[in-house]
Amino acid sequence: MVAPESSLAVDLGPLRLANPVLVASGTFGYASELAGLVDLARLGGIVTKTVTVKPRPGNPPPRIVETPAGMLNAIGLQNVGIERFVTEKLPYLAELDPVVLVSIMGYTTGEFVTLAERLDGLPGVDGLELNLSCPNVAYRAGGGAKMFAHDPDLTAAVVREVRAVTGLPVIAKLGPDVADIAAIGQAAEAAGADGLAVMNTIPGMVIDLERRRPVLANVTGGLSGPAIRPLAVRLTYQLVSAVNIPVVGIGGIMDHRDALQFLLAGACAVQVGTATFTNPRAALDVLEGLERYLDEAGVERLGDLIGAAQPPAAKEQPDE
Amino acid sequence: MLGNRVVAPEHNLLTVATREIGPRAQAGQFVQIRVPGDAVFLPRPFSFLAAGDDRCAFLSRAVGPGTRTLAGLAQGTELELLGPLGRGFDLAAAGAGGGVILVGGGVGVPPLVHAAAELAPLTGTALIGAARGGLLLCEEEFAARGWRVRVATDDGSRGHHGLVTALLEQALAAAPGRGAQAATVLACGPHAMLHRCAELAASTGAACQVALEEPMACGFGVCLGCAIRVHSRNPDDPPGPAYALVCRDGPVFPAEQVLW
Repeated sequence: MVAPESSLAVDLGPLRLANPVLVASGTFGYASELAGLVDLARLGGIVTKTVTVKPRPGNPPPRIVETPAGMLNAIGLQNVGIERFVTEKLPYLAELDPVVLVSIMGYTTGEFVTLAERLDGLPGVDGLELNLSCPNVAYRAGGGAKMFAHDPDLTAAVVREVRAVTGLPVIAKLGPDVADIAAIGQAAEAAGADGLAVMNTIPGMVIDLERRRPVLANVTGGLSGPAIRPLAVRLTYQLVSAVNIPVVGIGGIMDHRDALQFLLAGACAVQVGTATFTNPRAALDVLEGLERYLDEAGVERLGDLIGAAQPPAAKEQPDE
Repeated sequence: MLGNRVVAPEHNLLTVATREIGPRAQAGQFVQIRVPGDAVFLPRPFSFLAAGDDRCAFLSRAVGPGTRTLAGLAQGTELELLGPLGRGFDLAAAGAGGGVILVGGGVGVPPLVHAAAELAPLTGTALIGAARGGLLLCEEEFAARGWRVRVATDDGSRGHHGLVTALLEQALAAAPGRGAQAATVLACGPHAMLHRCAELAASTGAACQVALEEPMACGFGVCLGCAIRVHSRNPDDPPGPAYALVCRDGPVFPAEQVLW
């Protein structure tokens, strides 16, 4: 006996998700790749591989290396570019039941605007996830090489300008390597973001002892997997207490117990990422685990658990 | 796991019961095996040694914590396998020309055993290389199917003293057909061996298919981690270098497609 579907429904800003389990950008392609392996209709949402204005070939190999309880990747945002995404990938996504968030990344604020304008109103696009935090590409934000998500003003500028050109829900995806996640999140909220997603991978490095060189051709890569989960739970917890918009938790979720940590920290939904590489059905396993948990724990609605780990003052904050 | 036995130093033959995978498997394709326990995070890719209706066999060389864990698994252990994955050898093309030459180096031999089984009753020449005689794999499997087997070892303890590609050079010299009568080389082994196979095949007009290995996370084309540089490029590909994915576009590639 599993809990009825409605008890799992959650709201991500203006978006109603059938359940809180999404698949993370860059770990699920454009969904068609997984069609033969996963019942896509059961997912709460799909976040696409990040799309850029121009096609990108990606970084030279080696692009990945395994690490303790995780991996580093430096794919380099290999993607087909916005035009081929719209003509070749989006029609398939438009036929799917789950909410589809298109992950977009610009090297400048203007490129984010270009992408948002192109996607606005297209069938199959339910919302935008702004990738402000890919660690594997060089940015030209604010005139220097800086990641948007490292700076409240740069983050706000992208959100504000995207907000101005689209009616789509806008989720800002933040990175972990910042001193004050609350300030970045508040800047995104003030600029009009409908929600936040935290976290992207964290820059890391592995050095090959035989060659005495970094393993990855890109030198550094983004660390993902269970190794980063406590960091992601902490960032989620801090963000939730700092903003009044929904937060989506991401980072090393392998099973429903991991997902529950993010929900208890206050995330309204979670994204399953690297776990899909080890088990294509990982997101559905998380969902089924959550259904069982609600049933066994006698919890009527998943929403009753969201934020339960926050101190009483923080939980009341949205009403103040 | 139906069986797990040592067939050479640090080499285990893993036999797995599965009814779903074997009947669909083609030589050169692979499975992702999740390693039980916490020794490693990512699954490990293995090409098929053999694939049957109710079982599949794989050869694992214990080189790290993942493969060492696999080597220690007891019969009856439950395993998670995903497959068959990727593109295997084009055996229709291989059988149509002027003879087949298999070249296997080290633990690259298994997919060639699978190819020999699928090519039957066709036979040809199987060339096997290893560091030393005790590490030469699967000689008897090829011989039992009627293949001419020649071996090479780095230390000269068995067969030709030197590289297996020297044997390929001789075999290609003895198979001088061109065009439709050209020999086909199917190769799997270390990168340098495959590169040399590609050069020798190109210089003699033989066709050559190589089975590559790269560090890999997912195995089904979404992590984009196992990219290799290739020559061929679609007109609508991004500018700059062209990449193919070993897991999805390979692991078997026409040798001339690879940018060595």
